[in-house]
Amino acid sequence: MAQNLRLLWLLVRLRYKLLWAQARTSAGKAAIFFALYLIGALTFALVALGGVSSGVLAAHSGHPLVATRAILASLFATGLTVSLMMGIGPSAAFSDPVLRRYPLSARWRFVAQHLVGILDPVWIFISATLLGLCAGFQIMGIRSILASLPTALAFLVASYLCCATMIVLVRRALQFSLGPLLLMVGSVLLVLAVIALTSSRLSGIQLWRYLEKLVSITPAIAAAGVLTADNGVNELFSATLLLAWVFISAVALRMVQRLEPASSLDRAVDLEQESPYDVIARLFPRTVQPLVAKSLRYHLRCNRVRYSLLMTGPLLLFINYMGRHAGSDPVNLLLSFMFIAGFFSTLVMSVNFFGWDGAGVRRYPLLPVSLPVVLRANSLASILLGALGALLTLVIAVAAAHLPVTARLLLVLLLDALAGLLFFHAIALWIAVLSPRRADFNTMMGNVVSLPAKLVLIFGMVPVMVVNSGLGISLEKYSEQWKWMGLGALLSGGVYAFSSALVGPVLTRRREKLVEQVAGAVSN
Amino acid sequence: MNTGIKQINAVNDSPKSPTSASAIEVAQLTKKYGEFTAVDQLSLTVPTGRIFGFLGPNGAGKSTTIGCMTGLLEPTAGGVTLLGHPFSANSVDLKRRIGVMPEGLALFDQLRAHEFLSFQARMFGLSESVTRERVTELLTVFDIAKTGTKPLAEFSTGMRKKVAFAAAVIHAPKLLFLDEPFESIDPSTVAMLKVWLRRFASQGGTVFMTSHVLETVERICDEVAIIHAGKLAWQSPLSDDAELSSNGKRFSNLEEVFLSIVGRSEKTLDWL
Repeated sequence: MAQNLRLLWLLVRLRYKLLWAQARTSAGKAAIFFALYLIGALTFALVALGGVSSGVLAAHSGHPLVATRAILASLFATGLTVSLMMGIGPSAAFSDPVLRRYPLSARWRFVAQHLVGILDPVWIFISATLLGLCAGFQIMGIRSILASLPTALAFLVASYLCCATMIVLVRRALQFSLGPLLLMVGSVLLVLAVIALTSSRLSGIQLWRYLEKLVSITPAIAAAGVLTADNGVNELFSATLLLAWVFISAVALRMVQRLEPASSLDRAVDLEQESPYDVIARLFPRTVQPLVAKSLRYHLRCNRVRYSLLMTGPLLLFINYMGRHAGSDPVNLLLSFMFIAGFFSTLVMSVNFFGWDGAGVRRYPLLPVSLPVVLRANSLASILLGALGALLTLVIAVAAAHLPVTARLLLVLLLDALAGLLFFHAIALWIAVLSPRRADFNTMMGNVVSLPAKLVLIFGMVPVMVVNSGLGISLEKYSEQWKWMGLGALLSGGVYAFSSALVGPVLTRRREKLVEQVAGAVSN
Repeated sequence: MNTGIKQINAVNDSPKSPTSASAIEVAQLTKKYGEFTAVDQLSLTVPTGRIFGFLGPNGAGKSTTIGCMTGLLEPTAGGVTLLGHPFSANSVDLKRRIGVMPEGLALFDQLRAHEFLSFQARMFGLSESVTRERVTELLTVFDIAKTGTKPLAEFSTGMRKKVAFAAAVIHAPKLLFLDEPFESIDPSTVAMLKVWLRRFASQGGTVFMTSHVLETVERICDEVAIIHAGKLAWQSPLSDDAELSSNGKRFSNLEEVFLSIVGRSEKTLDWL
């Protein structure tokens, strides 16, 4: 027992040492920046909401339950979002195969894994906020801190376990060939349901009541019920519900972790049957056909690319919906989105071709082609898939935008998508060469693209929105401006061709450095 | 269609047959990483039709030397001539005539075995029909035909090595560079590979290989060189009548030569 606990402590320390090592990289610095922002935001929440404000709300409005529910629900959402987006918390905890190298039984491995997860920075910050909330209740005389702390702890554990279960479920789903598709269908249905719900004739209050019923049994609401209960029955009910969440989440997590990962069938492959990847690659010059086919396989076997390809449509629906409600011109909005749609689909791959090859990147210099040819082949595959993604998005866009569909409108949108596709792929060529980073096919969450790639994505839509506004392209005027779109597509093609030619010598020069960045140095 | 198995039965452990022309000539090869010199003015010649063993302790510069000889690394100084032609990282035509099993194997982990071998074959200019034929043959002979849709990432170390070896030979090169080819492979496959390599050399092919298994090297190689701290420390033929000597001392086997050059570690762990 003592030895196991000592080992758990060593693992937690190891996790923080790894975090520190990661923090010394450029991407790590961005993560620190984000974390500092998060600390600031949470400190603000701690002071403004967690403690004093909830007390003030309680005193003035007489509704401490509502305020506490909102705070706890937002903490839960923060934990889940940060874990998913930043790759910390449950998603960064040591996996079971990693822990198998230590002398720990299955049960202790489970404990170790999730102790490391719950002691990750994000959950520490959430703990601090919860502590502040308890202190606030004590100060305002709602509940003593000693009585609040066990509830806060149970909420923390339940939230962590729920997040971990969701993350493991998503990962498991993505390991199956149909997993991404099923997730996509789920996401689309959710998006459509939300759009349909908000567009219905329900008033805000009615909608809130529906949502309230839906979330009334969640850990946040249960914990809020315990912390602000005005009678013993309510407190007992909420406490039981919260403890049930802890227990059920732990059992569910254990069960989903035991699900067998997708296994490949042990059977022979029919080599006589030609693969669709090879058939598609025939569209390209003979010398690059094998490279294009390989790249297409890598694109479509990468869950992140699959996910992006499938999510572009729903994202467009969401932006369209939000933009309309904010009063944006629908054509301007569509043009801005279509400009980046093709690139968004394959972004993770197209800015980091070599990073996904891992140690395989060492094979390229051994092949009887120059490295720039390899880069161009990858880029062509990416553009092909991006174009496909853009076309699918275009269909959704036209269907969802409720615009009068004319040949001119389609032409404008196509030219716009083509311009964006080529423009961003030109930038991607440079990022792939100058800022590669080793990427892992098996992880779905966390950082995978470099800082320059993130900046391109974040600021990708801004210039075109500005240009569109500057040109005055709107629902009324777009048909007059289509020539500008054609010119834009031509210019983007030029930028791509120019970049493709210029990046070659740069890649050749920094070949060794790139291989070292992705696959590590030769061992001598 | 010939299968590898038939070839093995047809070939005996043929005698070593050196020829005079050089397959590899390395002149004053130097590779530096910043201030650190990984390979220091290394010169050696490997005649055509030989199996050449390149030995050395970990970190001696073996993989760096192979990297410079195959286009993975750019030499800081010196030159490499392969099959009679000066070699550089841009020697595309020359690369078609060499096969490499590099350090770390450099596999594309997300491809299946047949996809990877087909990729390699097509990159080296084989037609679709020949590619299909050879991929089928290699998968069968290495007993990896039933790996289905399993990506290379999920293969065992030994299976990965077999795939890497198959990729190195699929285009029937004239010159083979093999970085530790026998480690992690089962004994029956090692025996088969040895026969293949002997046959390859007897037909005019040249093999440049590194290995830490000195007994195997002694049994299969025609000539051996030892690199230590980036410098060529010893080179000698390994024919039956050749004497193994270094610094005036005679040795009965390769291990003794190796330890006399590299040194033997006498450290003990009292607690183990």
